[in-house]
Amino acid sequence: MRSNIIFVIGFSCVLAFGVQGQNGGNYFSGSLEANGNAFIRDARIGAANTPQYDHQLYGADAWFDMRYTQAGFNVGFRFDVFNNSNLLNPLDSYTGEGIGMWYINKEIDKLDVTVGYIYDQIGSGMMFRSYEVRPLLIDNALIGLKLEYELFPNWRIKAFTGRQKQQFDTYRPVVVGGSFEGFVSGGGGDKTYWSLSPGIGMVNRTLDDATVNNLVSDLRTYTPVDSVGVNYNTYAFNAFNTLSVGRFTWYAEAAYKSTELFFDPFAEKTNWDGSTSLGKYLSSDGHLLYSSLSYASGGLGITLDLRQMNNFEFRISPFSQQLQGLMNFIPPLARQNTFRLNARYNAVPQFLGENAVQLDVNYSLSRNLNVSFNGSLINDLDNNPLYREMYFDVAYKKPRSYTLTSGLQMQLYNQRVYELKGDAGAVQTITPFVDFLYKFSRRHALRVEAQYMYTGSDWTGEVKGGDVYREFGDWMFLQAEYSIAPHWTIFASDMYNVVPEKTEDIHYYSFGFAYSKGANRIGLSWVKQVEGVVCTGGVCRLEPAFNGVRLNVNANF
Amino acid sequence: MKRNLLGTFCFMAFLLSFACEEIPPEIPPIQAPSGNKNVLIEEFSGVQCPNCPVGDAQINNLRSLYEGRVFSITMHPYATQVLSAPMSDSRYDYRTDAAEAIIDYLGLPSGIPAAAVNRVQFPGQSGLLSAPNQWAGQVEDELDKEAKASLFLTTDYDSDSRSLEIEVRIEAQSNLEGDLRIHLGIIEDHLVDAQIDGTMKIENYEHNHILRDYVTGHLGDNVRSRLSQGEVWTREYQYTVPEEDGWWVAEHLHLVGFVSNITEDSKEVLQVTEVQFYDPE
Repeated sequence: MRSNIIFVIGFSCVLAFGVQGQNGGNYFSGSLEANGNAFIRDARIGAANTPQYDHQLYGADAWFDMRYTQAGFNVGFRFDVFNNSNLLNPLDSYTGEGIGMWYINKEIDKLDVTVGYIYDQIGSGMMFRSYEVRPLLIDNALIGLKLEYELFPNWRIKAFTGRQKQQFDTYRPVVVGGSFEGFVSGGGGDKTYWSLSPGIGMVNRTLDDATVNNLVSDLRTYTPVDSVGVNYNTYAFNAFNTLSVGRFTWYAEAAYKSTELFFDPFAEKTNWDGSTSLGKYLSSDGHLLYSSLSYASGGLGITLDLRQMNNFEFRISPFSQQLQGLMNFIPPLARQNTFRLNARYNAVPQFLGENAVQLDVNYSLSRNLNVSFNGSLINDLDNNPLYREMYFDVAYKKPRSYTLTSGLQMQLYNQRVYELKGDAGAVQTITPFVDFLYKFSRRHALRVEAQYMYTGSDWTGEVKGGDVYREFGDWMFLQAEYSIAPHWTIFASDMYNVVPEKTEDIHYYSFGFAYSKGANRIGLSWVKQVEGVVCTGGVCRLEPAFNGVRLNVNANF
Repeated sequence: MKRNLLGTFCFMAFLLSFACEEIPPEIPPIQAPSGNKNVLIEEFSGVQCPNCPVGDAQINNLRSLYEGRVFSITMHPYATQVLSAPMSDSRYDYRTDAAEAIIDYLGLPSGIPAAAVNRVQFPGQSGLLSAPNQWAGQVEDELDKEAKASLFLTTDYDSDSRSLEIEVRIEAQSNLEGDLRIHLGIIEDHLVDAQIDGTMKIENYEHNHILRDYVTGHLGDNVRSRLSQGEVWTREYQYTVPEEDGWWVAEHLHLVGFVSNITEDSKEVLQVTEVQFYDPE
């Protein structure tokens, strides 16, 4: 706390000095994001048995960012508040507050220096990325030093070192890394016909003595048949390139991770009493291969993605679990759906092994008519199906009047693997949807969306024994949103378990409003939400049900 | 100049490549602990929790490796929701109010299996509970400590009336100050029932060390706020073992007793022991 106070005083001095010496080119910017929750117990949907529902009743999360630039210096800090928060662990309560981030950045000739909290990535981030996803309370900034130097025009070399943030503390292992990236292009005359953006990167993570000692203690309990060693250092290397030729763009990345210890929950372990159980440490290297080829011409856009992962779980410590301690960012290779029911089942990336392919096609038949298609197929490394999705929509827009979007989504979702629910199976869905936006005038508009999720089919024919798993059963969702520009939006929705399998038929309704004025926005809503995998920014987590009131306040300056 | 810089970069990369060799840590065999403090593992589990058999296996390993020094209580709370709820073909519902009170007291984990080892918060932990891959190190640390209190349980069980008489004797091995508490729990072994294991369901999984009830309050009974070194505290308890179809089998029941000391920043278990009170003779 004392260091926080010193930092705020120091930052205030810098600002005071800056304000006195303003002579153009210096500016403040910042933002506030604040969320308040009132938890209302509803045991029927599972919104119960956590401290928030049982006795705390209220919770809040807030982030206040402030950035300032002067004389080539960029400084910033962020104050974070978590009171009875369910973001870190949806089943528990987390309370803490303090300086969540600060940095000082200065460019000295061609050398760019940053100290403090560093958010950065190498390549696409699939080997290394430090980033923040607030709704899931992921904030894995590196606290340390970053140097970037422009070797030649368009060619930069970068090096960084630090320790990963853990709420208001740090993990003990040390991270060192760097990259060398550039850009070249060519063509005839003034026109660029091709360009290349190649790069290479490296990251090293050194475990601390306490972590290694803990691992050694655990490994000592292994029988000789399962015995494995442990290293202090793990290295990861990658090479990546974006090639653009005419209307084609091809991004390719290959990453390799040296041998390290990781926990495989499905590996068979022999116990001292001769029995076996699942789950043990293994020691192996890993790799990731990714390719994304796109074509864009006129109204046609096509993207084909391919990815293979094997033992590519890269965390700050082998003891980190779920969304904690991630050192890289690997999003699902499937469509990021926005409609409620279409987004219910998400293909959480399987770091230990997955083959994935995705095709996305978008075509504008005319200025008013657009069609799109997305197909994704994800298997484990033994070719067992994990996820399938076929998505198709048609959008018709009548200028200044209405926009109608309608389509169909079909999914296979291996819930047993994705959510480790051994009693589950592969859910297969067929979900037609429609979205209608009608503009009464320049200020008044009504948007209605509706979806129906049918879970009884076996459209892929891949479910062994024809045992179709329906999880909760069939769902229906309806939402109406009325907006009065530029200030008001009012909405009401209901997600209804039409043919319930697990619970009694329950209406999961929500309603609320949002008011915007200038750079400020306030939203207040009553939310009743079913449990499920929630993906935000490509990162997913199993979220329990929610019932209560939510208040959101956003401001920018 | 640019060529020199690039050359320097390549030379540095070449030099760094020599740093890739390290001397890995040794993994020595298990040795007899140097202290006399026993260890209590309080595990939170669930029949629909796919990773929970991993926790059970690790507890069995630790109990085998440190026989007579490591004891465990497996609890199924309500707070872990669907993971601990019985399945449609489950024979028993293992959830208890005691488990709920204790998980609330120790802090809800982000997932299960999770356990407290002697209710100690170890370095690098944000709470008292940790995952199975951390228990061995914690157990080792605790076993190397000297116990600050000795605990003796004497039992007398009447099979006909199912009445259990318990005499508790605590002897302070150092000056103790704080909220000292005695905890007496009944656990049951050999409960054969359904359990999810990874992506499979095992119909005849053997559940062991399952918490059935507490003879004392769920969070223990007060002993005294101060015990001087060498001072002895005793108390007698009486408990009637319930009779229910299929479980509460006297041969499979054990009494686990432990002493904890609650201070401003600790809930540490000072000593633990276990007795099988049913004697077929």
